Amino acid sequence: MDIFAQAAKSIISQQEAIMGPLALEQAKKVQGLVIDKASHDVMIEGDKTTALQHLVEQYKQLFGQTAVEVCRQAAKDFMKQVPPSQVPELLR
Amino acid sequence: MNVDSHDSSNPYNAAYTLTYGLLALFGGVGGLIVAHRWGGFKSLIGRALSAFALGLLAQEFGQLVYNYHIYVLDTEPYPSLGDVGFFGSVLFYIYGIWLLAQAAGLRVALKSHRNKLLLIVIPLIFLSISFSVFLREYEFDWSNPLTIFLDFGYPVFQTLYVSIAALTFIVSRKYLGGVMRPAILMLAGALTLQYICDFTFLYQVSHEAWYAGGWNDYLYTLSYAVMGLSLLRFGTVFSEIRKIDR
Repeated sequence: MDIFAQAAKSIISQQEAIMGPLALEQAKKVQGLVIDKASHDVMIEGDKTTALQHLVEQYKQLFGQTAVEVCRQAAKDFMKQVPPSQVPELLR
Repeated sequence: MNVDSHDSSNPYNAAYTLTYGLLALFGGVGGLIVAHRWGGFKSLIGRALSAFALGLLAQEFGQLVYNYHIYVLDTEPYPSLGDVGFFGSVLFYIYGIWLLAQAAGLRVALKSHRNKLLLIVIPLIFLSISFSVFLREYEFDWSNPLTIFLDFGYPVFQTLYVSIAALTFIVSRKYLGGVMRPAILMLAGALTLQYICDFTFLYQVSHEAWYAGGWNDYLYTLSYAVMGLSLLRFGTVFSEIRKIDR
């Protein structure tokens, strides 16, 4: 998995710890994210920054800024490894 | 029929006291079903809802045992097995609101020194109120250590859950949003109402003004109803979230 997919997987896993199976359902609605049901491995098709931004937005609809902060924490280590211009706005 | 409405043994009071606990039973069972949809014990929200639901069921257990003491054995119910239910419900509520506060963003909020201070100051405020109202002139009777434990335990532990509920309201202003906000705040509100009931109950008992079927029981009816509805609301929110598209 590339670094964006790993960040997405980490975000989904953290959200799953909070809201249970709904987290995976919500992630599946995000265009560009392909999630393996068993392993929860993520593949991103298309623009990776946009897909990750949309994933965070999806959770933000549910919990507001709290969800954004959880996503930031979950993706922090992965986002250090990508150029700042490619980090989704909500994860900066 | 000439009956004294301030008498626990009058049939209207008895009928009311024996039945209103069913609201807690329905709310508790409904809450467990909703919690299961949220992932049950595997998720933070699921665990929080389960804890509140078990708290309601524990309240109903306490009600049944107290009623058995009042109407069948004709003995003082406090302290009795019923307190396992009532005191247990307090512990369930503390656990439930602690989890709910985390879902509302407490962990993030506690990075601020102001909120860390609030985490200490708010319980101290509630504790000092409880001590000044219930325990200031407390007379220790060491022949009944369980009564002493409960006399202190109820007001002290109840301040914990209401303090965390208050903290949830405070941190939610800055962080919590989205479709979950009203549901989480309603549940924290329901717990605050439960605290008002518990506080009033202790106050009336300490002033020998409590009787079965009195207005404190009406308050509890309202509290059980609001708590039950708050739990069921999470079921509605669950369905709403599933309909959300990107």
